[in-house]
Amino acid sequence: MARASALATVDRSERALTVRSRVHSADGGDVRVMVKRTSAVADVASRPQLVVVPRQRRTARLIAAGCTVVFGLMLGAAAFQTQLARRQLTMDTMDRNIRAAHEQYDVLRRERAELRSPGRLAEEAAKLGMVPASQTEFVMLDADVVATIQRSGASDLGGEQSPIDGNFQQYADVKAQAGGAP
Amino acid sequence: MSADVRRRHHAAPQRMHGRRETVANARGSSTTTRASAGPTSARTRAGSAEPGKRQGPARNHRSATRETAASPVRSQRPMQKRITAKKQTKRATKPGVTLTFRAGDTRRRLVAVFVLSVLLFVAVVARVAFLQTVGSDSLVAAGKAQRVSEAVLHAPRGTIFARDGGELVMSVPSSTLVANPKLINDPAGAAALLGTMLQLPAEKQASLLAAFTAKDKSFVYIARQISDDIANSVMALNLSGIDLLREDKRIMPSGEVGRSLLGRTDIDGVGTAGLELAYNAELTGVDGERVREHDAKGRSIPGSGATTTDPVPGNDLILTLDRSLQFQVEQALITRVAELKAKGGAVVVMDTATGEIYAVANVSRGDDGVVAVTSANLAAISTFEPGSVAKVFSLSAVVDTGVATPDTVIDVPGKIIFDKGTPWELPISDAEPHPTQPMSLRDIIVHSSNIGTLEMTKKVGTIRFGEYLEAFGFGQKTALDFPDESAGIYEPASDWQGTEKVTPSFGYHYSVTALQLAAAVNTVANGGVYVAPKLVEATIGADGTVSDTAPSATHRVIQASSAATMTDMMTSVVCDPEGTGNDAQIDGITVAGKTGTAYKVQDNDTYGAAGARAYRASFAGFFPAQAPKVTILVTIDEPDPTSKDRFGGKAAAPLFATIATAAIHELQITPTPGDTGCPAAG
Repeated sequence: MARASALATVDRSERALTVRSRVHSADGGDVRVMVKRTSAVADVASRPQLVVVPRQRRTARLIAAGCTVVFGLMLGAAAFQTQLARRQLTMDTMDRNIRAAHEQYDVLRRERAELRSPGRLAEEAAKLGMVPASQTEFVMLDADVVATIQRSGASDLGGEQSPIDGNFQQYADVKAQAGGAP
Repeated sequence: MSADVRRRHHAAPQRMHGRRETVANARGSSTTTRASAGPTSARTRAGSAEPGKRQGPARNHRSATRETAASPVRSQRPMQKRITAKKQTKRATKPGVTLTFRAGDTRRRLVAVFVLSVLLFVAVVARVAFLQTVGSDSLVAAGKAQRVSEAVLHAPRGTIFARDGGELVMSVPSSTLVANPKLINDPAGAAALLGTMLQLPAEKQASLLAAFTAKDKSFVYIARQISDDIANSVMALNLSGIDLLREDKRIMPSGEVGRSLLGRTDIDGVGTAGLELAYNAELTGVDGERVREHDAKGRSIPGSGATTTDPVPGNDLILTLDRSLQFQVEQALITRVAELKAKGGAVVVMDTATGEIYAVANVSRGDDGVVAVTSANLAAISTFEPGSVAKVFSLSAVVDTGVATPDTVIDVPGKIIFDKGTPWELPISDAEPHPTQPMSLRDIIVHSSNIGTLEMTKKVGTIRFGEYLEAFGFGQKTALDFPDESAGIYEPASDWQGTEKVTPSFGYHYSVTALQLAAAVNTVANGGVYVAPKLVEATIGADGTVSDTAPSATHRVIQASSAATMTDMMTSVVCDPEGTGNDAQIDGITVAGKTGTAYKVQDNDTYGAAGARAYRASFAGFFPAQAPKVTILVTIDEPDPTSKDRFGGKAAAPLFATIATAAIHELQITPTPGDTGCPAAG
């Protein structure tokens, strides 16, 4: 092993000296150019002049444009989504308002019915000192007086729609519009 | 290849290995320099490594890999050579011990990693495919359950209006407290607090505590349809697991007006009695549904859309009842029943021509002695023998068949024994004792003679008389078809035996309801045409359309002339100074009517002995007599038997006058031309 190693060291030293002699002069002053001639010098001289030209920017522009479009689309989608969300919130709010209005409508109907309740009216009338009529007296009016009253429109004897019918009609109208609404 | 050549082959990699190691160390430690190249350095590095530790060679291998990447020249070196060099290094560190390290087959490792990766990828793909196909249902359902809510939109139950537009029964939103026991942290405390705030009975409080403790349900009602103020005060406590719902509550904004007629619903809004039950299908709407996707905060997911099926509200009923008149009738009846110390009473007020019922009142004395409106419509359910009011029908048959006229006179004894000597022997007498005397048909009805009526009706014939009674509507329900309505107790005339052949003529042996009796008397007022009672004037549909109900069915019972004759004779009952119905007179308008005082059947199935009898006092009449517009029946159940006011003419007729006066005011009834009321009153 040691001998083999010594031989390898010698070979390597010899090769190193050879290489050094090719690169440097014997006195170690000038350096010789070691050129491996692979082609004719004339061929090298006749090559065309190469110049650096500005890189084509079409691709960059395309990429930039693409990015802009994509960004715009994403921005648009985000804006659209935001708009959707906003409108959905508005719809939810309107639904709640409708429900609240319905409840309020029913509450007001109940309060009106309670205020018009005969029991309450009788109680309030009694507080005012009123008593139920125990007798009826019919007074015969002159026909001319009746005709005058009817002409003046101050009487409902003409068979016009009574307020009661009007109440039903109003209720029916509301029911037709919102009766089935949630 | 010789041994030397092999050594040289191995030596170069050794050197290179040593250099790579040095470079690697230089990266990790500044104390190692590149100058320490060569086998010595390699040995030194190898010798410093702990034997048996795998990180040395592994690190070397990594270093070599990095170096290889950095140096194209080295990368061209066969891998096997580098590995062999490492083997040589190892061998050199342990002289005398032959160790064999195998770096493994990289290709196989790569293949193994590749195969594992492929298997992993396939497994992932297979799982995804499974989840997307076979196993997708449960996941879809789970996802849907998280974001999709299906809410039932309850259809509002129809309102019941009076004819004047006032709401008698309506649904209004109310608050309901519910609990999720699984979310309640302190069941005992919560139950106690709720019990106190809501004033719950002890049983309810105990059941709540049990439910809160068991935690086997996620929904429990705490208190339904309570006032908003109380519900809000409970919710203000922020108790965990307690929530608030809104649901419709059925209320009567006019108080107890018409209560016995209107009936009631259960807490879920399903009719259980009265008109609420009779028209339950009409009043009940069709629930809707809303399906929507929402986020965790309950907000609708934008763009997800919602499917809404609108509820169809129930139809509203417009009754023929006049709310104000109904109230006055109820109050007057309560007062009268209280005055008479009676058990109860009923009143029916109806339109003569159309059969529309303006008011139906039912009152009874409770166990506490208080007279109040009943929850049951006794006027349609309870039956009684009509007594002398039935003479209207008997004498109508007499007049209509031409057996007699108002001026036809017969001798009428004050008392007879019917079917004497037979098992059906029955003593019959008039209310007012009198000797046998001649009496006209008018006298018979004015004095309400039982024997005179009996004798006259016998001339009509039992079967024929029975047919008249059936035509007047007895033995069959009215067109109202009110829940639990009675058809009365009526046996066909062909089945009558013994006294049964005569007692119906003065109002016994058959029972009627107040509604039947009012409708029958109204037949005379309506010119002999029976018109079925009617309670619903119109309906308002879901689309707001007001639809009038069909007119009441009618059929002729007696001729118009017979009706006029009967009206005339019934006017005498009220207006004749000797008539039994004088107390029914009202100012300015003539009234026609008939009194009735019937014995009530006792618990022992008899009418009881004298002094222990119970009575049913009634008065049925209509006005204005010449052109009737309103028919009223008043019946008082068991007035004080010791009082002189126990008779129909005293107990019921005055109430008739009171109610008639109220009806004149409310319905704006005016007298017919020339009518100034009974002469005696005028």
